[in-house]
Amino acid sequence: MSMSWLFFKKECLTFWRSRRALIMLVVFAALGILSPLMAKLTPEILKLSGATAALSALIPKADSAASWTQYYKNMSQIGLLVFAIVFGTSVSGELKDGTLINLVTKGLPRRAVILGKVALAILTWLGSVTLAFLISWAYTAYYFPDHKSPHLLAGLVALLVFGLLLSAVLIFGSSLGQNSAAGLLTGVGAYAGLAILNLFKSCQRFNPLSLLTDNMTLTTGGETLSHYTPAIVITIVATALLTWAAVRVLEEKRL
Amino acid sequence: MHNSELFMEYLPFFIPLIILEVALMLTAVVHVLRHPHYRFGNKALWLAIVILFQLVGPVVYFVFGRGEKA
Amino acid sequence: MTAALDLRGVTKQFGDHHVLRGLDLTVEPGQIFGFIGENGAGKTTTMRLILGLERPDAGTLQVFGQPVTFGRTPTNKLIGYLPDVPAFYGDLSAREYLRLCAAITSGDPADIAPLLHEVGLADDRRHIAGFSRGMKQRLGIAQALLGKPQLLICDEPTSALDPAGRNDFLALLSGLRGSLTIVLSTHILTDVERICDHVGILHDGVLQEQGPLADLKNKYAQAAIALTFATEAETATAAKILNVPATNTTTLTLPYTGEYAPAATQVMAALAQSGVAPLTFARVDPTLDQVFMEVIR
Repeated sequence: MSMSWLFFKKECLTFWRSRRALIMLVVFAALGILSPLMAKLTPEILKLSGATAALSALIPKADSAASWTQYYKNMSQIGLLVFAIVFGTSVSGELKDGTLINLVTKGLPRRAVILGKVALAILTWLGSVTLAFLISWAYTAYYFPDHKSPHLLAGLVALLVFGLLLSAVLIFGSSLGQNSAAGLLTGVGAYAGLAILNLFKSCQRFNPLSLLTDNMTLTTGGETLSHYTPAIVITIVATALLTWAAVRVLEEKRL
Repeated sequence: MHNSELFMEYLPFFIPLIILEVALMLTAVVHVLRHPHYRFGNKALWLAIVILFQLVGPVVYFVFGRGEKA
Repeated sequence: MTAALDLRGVTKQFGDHHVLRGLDLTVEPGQIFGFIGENGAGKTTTMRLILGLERPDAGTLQVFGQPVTFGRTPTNKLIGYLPDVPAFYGDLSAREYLRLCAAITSGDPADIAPLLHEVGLADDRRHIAGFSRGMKQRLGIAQALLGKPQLLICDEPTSALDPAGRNDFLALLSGLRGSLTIVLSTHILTDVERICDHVGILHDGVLQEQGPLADLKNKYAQAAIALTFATEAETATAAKILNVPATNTTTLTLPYTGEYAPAATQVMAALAQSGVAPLTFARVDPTLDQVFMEVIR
């Protein structure tokens, strides 16, 4: 375990020095500002574009629900993509560069490599999403002081939990090969698979993807978080399994 | 409502956004200039990318572009 | 005495390509062992096998009497390894990287400063990304020596260095003589001649020959006397007298066996009798190149 801690510390240092930490910080902070901004701007733009009286009824209202809808859309699209790009080459990059050879021959367990990287990915997701959330929350509370989003934390917790699985998928995928696209492709594949499952209504309570797509239902109180308990449990179990699988893959890998 | 009023109303959004973008851009510009080794492309190309493409440019540079001295 | 390194019947193939076909190799403690072979002969594979980075198809490997196992490799605690192209984290400084290594091997961080000094690297905050090949090689040897290994394995350490860097590196290795066992893989034979006392020649997947450098030279290479003359005509005359095949140049090479003095006296006497005077008269020592060419023929 101390070896995992050691590697985690190295990961943190290089994460910071390579400016990847800065990228996550800036992108997610920007998304946090953009979400309420887009909620506020969208009706204005539609008005300016000269919508007729009949159409103006269709124009979405600028309220807190619109703001949080934008937030979850941004998190699940740009936020997810940037996170996947930043962590999708986490292991494959080291395999390609050969940087693990020295440390492994010195006695660093390969398990420690995976655990350190998964831990950093998870913490980064939790930190970035929470940062964007706090910024969004401050703007939304100021500009849209209504009661249309009563269960903010339920939506956020679901998104945070989804990040566990996302992190494990990316690290697992990137440990498959030296190809820098392996991590991203595995992520896309997993996403597509879950999206297909989500077409079946009966699966949705169990599908980890619900934690990424149903956040507004949770936020507005259409559903309670406990409804998604199966999905949360499955997400946590899948995260553990994928992390274990990544360790097995790396242990068999030629360095 | 005049456009300028509209703009003033949105300043609390634009100012922090601009600060973030410029901060990231400057970090990238400084890095491009001080570390003239890239995985591909050259100095001029990367400068253009990080300056012209706000947010996306620096992200692409730091993730894919930065390289080591051989 | 337990051998520092003992390989018995090691076989390894990648696909259809047989890299090693029953390699036997023994390195005794304290030797500086030159492991030579052409490019692609299997030197790197052998070293990776010793470090447990590859799984052998057959055979056993022992480091100071302990078996090498693939994956979890306790014998690596005894080994310092310098890969042919050492790869580090560009965003760390040399000191930070060595501290990471020391933490893994539970080594003493206090060793880092003297070690950096020994390999000639500044102990500053400069990041490895800005290091030249030579500096990376220095850091490579520093990380290999960290934790005071008993066996140092260097894979083609000088092939990427400029002449000055090579010189420094060989001096550094030479300075370690006696304190630990060194295996130096290379195809640059002059490096081996400079610092190694024992050599092994890898060819066709087995060690064709191994032993003290001096013994191998005696066995395979022949000493010679080299003569040069002013004109080709003189050279031809001398060739006839000395009973060697004539050449179209002004040099003659006369192989001899036994001691130099009697052989040289004999040649001088013959030349004096015929009245042909050489411009130069020199002893040519046997070289490892000759041994190598002879062994792999």
